[in-house]
Formats: sequence, structure tokens, C-alpha cells
Amino acid sequence: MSSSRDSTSQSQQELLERAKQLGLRALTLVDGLRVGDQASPLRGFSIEFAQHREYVPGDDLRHLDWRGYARTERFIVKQYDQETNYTAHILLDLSGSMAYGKPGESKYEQAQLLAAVISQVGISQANAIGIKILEEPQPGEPAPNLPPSTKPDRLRLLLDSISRRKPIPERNRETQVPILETAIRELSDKVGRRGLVVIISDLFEPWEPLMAQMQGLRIRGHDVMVLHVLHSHEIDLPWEGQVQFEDLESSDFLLTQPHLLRASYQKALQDWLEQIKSFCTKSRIEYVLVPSDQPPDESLLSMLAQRLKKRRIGRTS
Amino acid sequence: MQFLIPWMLAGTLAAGVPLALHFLRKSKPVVVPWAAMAFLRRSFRETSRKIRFRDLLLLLCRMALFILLAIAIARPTLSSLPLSGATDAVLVMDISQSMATQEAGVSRLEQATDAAKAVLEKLPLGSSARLLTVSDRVEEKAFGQSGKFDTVRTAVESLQPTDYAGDYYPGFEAAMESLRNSPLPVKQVIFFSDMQASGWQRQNASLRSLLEKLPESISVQMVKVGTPVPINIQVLDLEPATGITFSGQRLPWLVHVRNTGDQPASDFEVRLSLTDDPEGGESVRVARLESGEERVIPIDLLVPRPGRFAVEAKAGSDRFARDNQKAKIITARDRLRVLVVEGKSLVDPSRTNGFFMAHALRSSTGDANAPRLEVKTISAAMAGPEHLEESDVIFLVDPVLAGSEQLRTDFAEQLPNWMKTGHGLIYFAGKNVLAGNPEELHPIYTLLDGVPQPWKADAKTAFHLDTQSVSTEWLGRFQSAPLNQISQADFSAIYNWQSNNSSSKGSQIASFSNGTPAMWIQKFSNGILLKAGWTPDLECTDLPLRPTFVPLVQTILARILEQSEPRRIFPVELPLAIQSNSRETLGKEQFVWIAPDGHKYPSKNHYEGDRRTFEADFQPERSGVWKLQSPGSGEDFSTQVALQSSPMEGQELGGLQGPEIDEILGRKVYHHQAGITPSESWSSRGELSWMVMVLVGLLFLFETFFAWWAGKPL
Repeated sequence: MSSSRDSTSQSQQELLERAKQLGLRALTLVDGLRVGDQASPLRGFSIEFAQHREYVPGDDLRHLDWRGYARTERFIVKQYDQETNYTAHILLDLSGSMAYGKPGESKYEQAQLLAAVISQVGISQANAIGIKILEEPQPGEPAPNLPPSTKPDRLRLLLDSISRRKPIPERNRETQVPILETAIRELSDKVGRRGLVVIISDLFEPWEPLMAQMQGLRIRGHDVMVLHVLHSHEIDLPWEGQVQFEDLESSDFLLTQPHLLRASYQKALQDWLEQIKSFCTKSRIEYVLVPSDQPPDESLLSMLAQRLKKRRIGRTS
Repeated sequence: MQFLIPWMLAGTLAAGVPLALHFLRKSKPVVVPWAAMAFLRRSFRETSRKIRFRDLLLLLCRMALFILLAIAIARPTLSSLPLSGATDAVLVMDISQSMATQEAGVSRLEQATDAAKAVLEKLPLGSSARLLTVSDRVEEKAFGQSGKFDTVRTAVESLQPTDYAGDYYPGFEAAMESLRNSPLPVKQVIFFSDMQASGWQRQNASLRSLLEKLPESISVQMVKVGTPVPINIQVLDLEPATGITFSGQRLPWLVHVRNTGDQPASDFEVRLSLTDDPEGGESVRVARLESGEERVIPIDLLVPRPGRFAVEAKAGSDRFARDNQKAKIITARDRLRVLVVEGKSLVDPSRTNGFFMAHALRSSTGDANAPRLEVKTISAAMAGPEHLEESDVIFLVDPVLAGSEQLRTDFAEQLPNWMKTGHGLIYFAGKNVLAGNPEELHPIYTLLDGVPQPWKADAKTAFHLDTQSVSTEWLGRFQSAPLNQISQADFSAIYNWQSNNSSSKGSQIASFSNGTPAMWIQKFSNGILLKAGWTPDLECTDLPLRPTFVPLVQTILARILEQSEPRRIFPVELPLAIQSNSRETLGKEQFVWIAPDGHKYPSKNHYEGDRRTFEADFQPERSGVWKLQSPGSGEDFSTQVALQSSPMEGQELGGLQGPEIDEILGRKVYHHQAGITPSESWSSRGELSWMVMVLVGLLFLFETFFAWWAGKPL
């Protein structure tokens, strides 16, 4: 008993240490961005015309610019600047597929770091940040789910929940389970108030349903940001010789010579990435491809900072 | 297809190396946990078929490389020549006369020996080789086995063409027989020849039957040498125009020549001379002899003294020289004494049946100013034994055989002994055969082997001589124009013998149109008896009035004289043996035969009564004049013999082509042509190694490029 209690407390210590390290890393990354000290003195609502944009299905018809329509015969809406605090929902994918990569350059480590950065930035601006960890279903052990909150200890809790989990490959089932699609659907159904949804994942699920769920979020007025974490191996398929590939989320495997498939694989993957980018652009979803085997670069972090600093949420979105 | 080194085909097992590598490389893959499985699967689906095909193609290329390399090293050959595997080879070399034909400075036999030596060089390890020669007979010359062919090679190189006509059947029969029980897996008969038609056709039925029974394990190869000969002049025969040679006189001779080529022969010389004096003869130039034309060339010849001489005729000069000359042994006489014993009274010459005979005889010498032919005519009753010593030839022209005018019995009783010493007797049967008492037959009937019986023609029909039935040796000149007009002579009365002793009946040399024999000959030791079933009497036939009568008498006389002489002209194919009067060789024991080229061979001899027989214990292979000599103390003995070759060999020198030979044999066999340097064409014929190596090279280049492109170098 005492040994198991000791091992539990030891693992907790390790987790705390891990969370602390993650927070420090995120802090280090964020520090240079001078985000925290740029909180706007203006709080509350302020409505200020910002720009026109094309009407998309779902926009509030009250914001249609009828004069503009009469002029141009095109449906356009007015967008206003409104500075307000926002609610951010982080969907952190820690399914089996995120386990790919050596320690230090694995996808899940990169994803955890990104989640920590977002949490750090969001909390520092008094925004409500929540996180849902997406992982392989474990019997009797529900996935961590922290709803958005501005409580003082939220950052610690966020970091703790982020760092606590690791993806576990699931090789005993025949097919993959669409964890991310399910989580987005649940989020979309439950959350009424518009906010920011940050999806940190490798997106290795059937794309059509996933795309439909993301579009659903946008229809409901949420801002969506996708941080697409992939390892360079998954893009380049650098393997040579005889290789047996074993799926991280099912019992599937394939024995082949990767160099024979490389060209076709790379094309298929690039086509998929193009498809994602095109959808995100069309749906006004912020999309960034983040290689897991490289540290997050300055431009990525800067983009995150700008994106999270002041959410410009107009009456139409 | 066959292989020179078949065991190298085991190298094709090396084709298993790329196959093994192909599987070995698949055995230990790297295991990689992977997330983007869907994309991998999609790519695999799109490319797997291409990949599998490419892999398979590469594998097959690599296996094919090893297989082709093994095949190339095993030295494949398309034709069964050169030989493959331990082979029992029988080399049958044609050494008939036509193989002496010159082909650009070498003989056909030399071309054939080159080709045969090339075959010996290429025989695989463990082979055996047997050398047979064939002309009109087969002879085994050498045998070698286990790759030791020095004796065979030496025997091949020592071969010379004979003067025999070709008959290929014995060669094939002997070859098949020698291979019948051969233990070796490959059995070959290889025939080297100019493939003359006469050689194939002499026993074509037997050849066909032999090849029909050819076992599957024996294969036959034909190697043809020689090219067509456009001009070939043959000397067919030579003879004195009158049939009789008298010494000291330039007498006309007739040389029969023929051009067997397909081009006319122009401006060539025909020369006739004594072999002892080749420069002393006479020659005639012939302006043109058309293709296929046969012509009689008259040339005079002077024989200086009586005796036996060898006369040789030579005509032209062409690639086949062996038939450009021919020799004959003749006896030159200073005189010939002929006695005509007639049956009718001498009172009225016009009524004697010997009149026409004597007249014909005197006309036959052709030299009215110096008659060497002494013809004496007496009645039957006057002929006595004393006349035998004065006569060389006696004609009994229907003598009276009964009554006071009958032929003297002492004369008749001496005739057989007289003939045996080398004289000729011609008996013409007429109406006088029926005279006399049948119970008391004249002794002449004993000599004549019976009493001839008459065949009478009726008033409407007459008998005629059948010129196609005449003996070629005796009366051959009467078979063709103009002398075949003798068949127009009418015979109203003819006589036929019915012999009690069938064995002594003799040989028929002419018959009448109804099949009744017209003339017979019988040998009496060295003498000849000619019996005619007719008589040259106008009451019997109108022949004496016809222009063909004199030539008939000339011919009969000439042949009688020839046959009365010891035989000295033989076909070269026969064993060489002659007889001589024992007195001539008395006291001499050592004899040698001297060939036309001067080589000497020992002679065996033995006595038969008063005759001595000399035999050669070898088989002469060359025609021409051979001498039998006994040099020693006292007077040398020397006699000459003329060996003559058959004109068949020179009749068609082009040889048959492959399909024509297959037609005769009734099956297809392999045919090859040996050139001037047959070993060169031989060595390159049929072998495919170079072609296979080119394929290997191309395949290797393809495999290298393909493997580089597929990213799978060997």
C-alpha cells in the first residue's frame, strides 16, 4: 500500500513537474510576444464599423448592407469591431495517432506545447479558456474536460491536464474511431455562446465528416482555428527497404517498400493538405500546418499572439 | 537444337539465385508505427499492381540472364552439326572417279577430306570415329575412339580418288551396320561426296529401303563438294577402222569422243599414240563439239612392227581429266591368213557361196596396194589339215557335208585343236546341212554341237536381223545408223541349232526378228567358234548385195581376232588377272605389276595346264596401262594390260541437290555444302553461342537500366 501510494504521489510529482516545465516553455515562448502587457484599457463593448465582407450563409440578415446591394447587386454585410473577452475551447487531440515521433519531436508533445501557449496567452488576457483532451476511450476513465473559466488557478489546471496525458496506441480494434469529429459535434451541440475553438490535431480522421463538423461550428458563429500537427515523416515518407507499417489506432498493418509508394503517397497527402487549406480559406478558418519535429517558429507564435490578443468579433461573424 | 557441352546447362540452376534473393530480401522488414495509414493504403492500392509487375519483370530478367548465360556456355547449335554429346560418327568418303574433278586447284576429294578433318576436330569428348571409303565397294580404313583420331586423320589425308564408278549403297549399308549396336547416345553417318546421280541410282531401291528402316537414334548428314562442270570431253572408245591392225602401215583409227558438259567445247586436240611413244602419234584438232554431242574422230596411226602394243587416245583438257584418255591393247600383225572353205563347185564362181565372202574379206583391209589380208578360197573337199597351219581364221561357208564333195573329215577332226591354239572359225549354215545320212553324221557336227535345223519363211514373209538384239561387244556398231540398215536384208532360209549339250551352246550375239538366234559364239580355250544360222548365199539372203555386208564381215573378223588373243583389256573394277603361255614365262619366277604412275606391286602366279595365271594380290584403283614384268637373266618377260574405267562417272558431274537426294531416299536428311575452305563454313554452321551471348548482353543492359529505374539494383 505504501509503495503504491508512494508511486502515485511520485507520478503526481512527475506530472506536476511536467506541467511546470510545459508552462515555463510556453511562458518562454509567449514572453517575447509582449502579449500580456498589451491588454486593452477599454473593456466592455465598443461598436465600430470595421469593414464590409461577403455574405456567407448563417450571417445575421440584420447586418446586410442593402445600399451596397443596390449598388453592386451583391450581398455584403457590415462588420464591426467589438472588443470583448472571449471564450476559447481547446480541443487537444491525444489519440493514438498523435504518438508518432521520437521523444522530443513527437506530435503530441508539440500539440501539448501549443495548447499550453494558447492557454498562457488566453489566461493572461483574462479570457476564459477551456480544454478537452481527446484520447482513445479508456473504460472507467473519462477524458479530462475543463470547461472555460477565468478562475485564477485555471492556468495551473490547464497545464496540469495538458501534461498529464499521453496518447496510447490502440492496436486491438479493426477500425479507427472518429474521436475529433465526435468531440466537435458534442461541442457544437453543447456550447451556445460563440467563442473560439482551437483544434490541435493531426486530423487523421475521415475528412468529409470532420469538415462538416467544422463547418457546423462556423455556422453557429464560432471562430475556429486549426493547428495541424504533422511529423515530417508523415509528409515525406522517407523510409527505404522493406517496412511493415502498423496503424497506431487499429490493428491494420501494411508490408511494403515505401520508396515504391512515395510519389503516390506524397501526392495524396499534398492533395489532402490542399483540400484542407482550401476548405479553411473558404470557411474563414485559421489554418496552420505545424511540423512536430521542428520548434514552433516565430511567425507561428506571432500569428497566434495576434490572433488571440484581441478577438475581433463583430455582430456578424 | 543440340548442345556441344550439355552439362553446362546445369548452370541454369543459377537462375534460382535472384529468386532466392527476391525472397530473402523480404524476410526482415523494419516495423514502423504509423498514423497516416489511410494514405499509405490508398497509394499501395494505386501502385501495387504496377509494383508487382515491375518486380516480376525484373525477377524474370535476372533469371533469364542466368539461364541464357548457361545456354550460351553450353554452346547451342541449331543444326545437328557440329556434333553434340559423345558421338559415334561414321565418316563415309566417296572416292569414286569423279572425286578427282578439280575445283579451283584442289580436287573434290581434297575438299571432302578438309571437311572430314573439320568434323574430327569438332567431335565431343568420348566420341568415336570410323572412316569408310565408298566407290563401287566399301572399305573400312580406320577407327578411333575416346577422342584419339590420329589414325583416322592420317587415313583421311592419304585418300586418293579411284577410277571406279560410284555406288553409294554399300557405304551406307556398312555405316548403318557399324552403328547398330553402338553404345554412344549420338550416332551419325556423315557422307562426303559430289553426290553424283549415277551413285545414287545404281541401287536406289535398296537405299530407300535401308533408310526406311533407319533407327531414330541414327542421323544422316550429307556434305556435298563440287560445282557443275561446264565442259567435259570423254574418250569413249578407240578402234582400228577396219578392226584389224597391220604393222608398218598408217591405218585409220576411230576415236569416239563425247562432250558431257552443258557448254560446247571448242578447239581441242584429239591425239592417238602408242603409250611407248607418246610423241610419235598423230593428232587432230576439233573445232567445236556441242554439249551432249558424240562424234567419231578419224586419226591415222602407224604401228611400226608386229606385236602387242598399248594404244592411247587423249582428247582435250578439262577439270575432269580422268576420262580425257583411254587405252587399249592391240595386236599388230604383219599379215592375216584367212581360208574360205565353200560348199559349191569352183567351176562356176558365180554359184559358189564363198565368192561374196572372199570379196568382202579382201575389201576390208582398206589397202588394195599392199594386201596384208591373204584370202584363200578352196572347196570343202580340198580342205585338209595342212591348210590349218597356213591359216589364222577359217570361214566354213555352208560346206558340203556328204558325198564326194563333202568336207574332209580329217580336216574337221583337227579343227578343235587348231582353234585352241588361238584361232577363229566361222561356220555359216545353209542347205548343205541337210545333206547326208542322218545316221552317219559328219564329225563337224560334233564341233558344231549338233545339226542345225531349218526355219523356212513362207512366200510372203522373210526373216530380218534384229539390230537391237545384237551383242554390244561384238556387233555394237550395228545398233545405230548407218549400219543398222542391215535389218533391211531379207533372209529366206535360216537355221537353228538344237543342242544335246546345253552347257556348250555358247553365247548368242544376234537374233532374227522372230527371236530365232542368228549367231552364236563359243570359246575353245584361246580360240573362238562363231556359228551363223544363215549363209551369205543369194539363195538364202540378199545381204551380200547390201553395203552393210562388208562391214559385217570386217567386224566379225576383227572380233574373232580379238577374242582369239589373250584378254588384255579389263574394267578397272575387276580383280586383275591374266593368263599367258607357259612357254613365254618359262624359267621366270619373280613378277611385278607396274602401275601407270610407276609404282610396283608384287604378283602371284600359278599354273593351269599349259597356261600360267598371274594375279594381283591388290585391287588396282587406277585405269590405264599396267605392265607385268619379270626382270631377270635372259630375255625379260613383259606384257601389258589396259584397265578401263566406266564412262558413267563423267556423264553428269554436277551432282544431285538436297531435295533430289531426299526424293531418292524417301526421307529428308541434313544437307551441307563444303566450300573451297569447308572447315571455315563448317565451324560457323549451326552454332548459336554468339547469338545467345548477344542476347545476354542486351538483356543485361536492359536489366541494369530497368533495375536503376525501379530503384532495385542487383
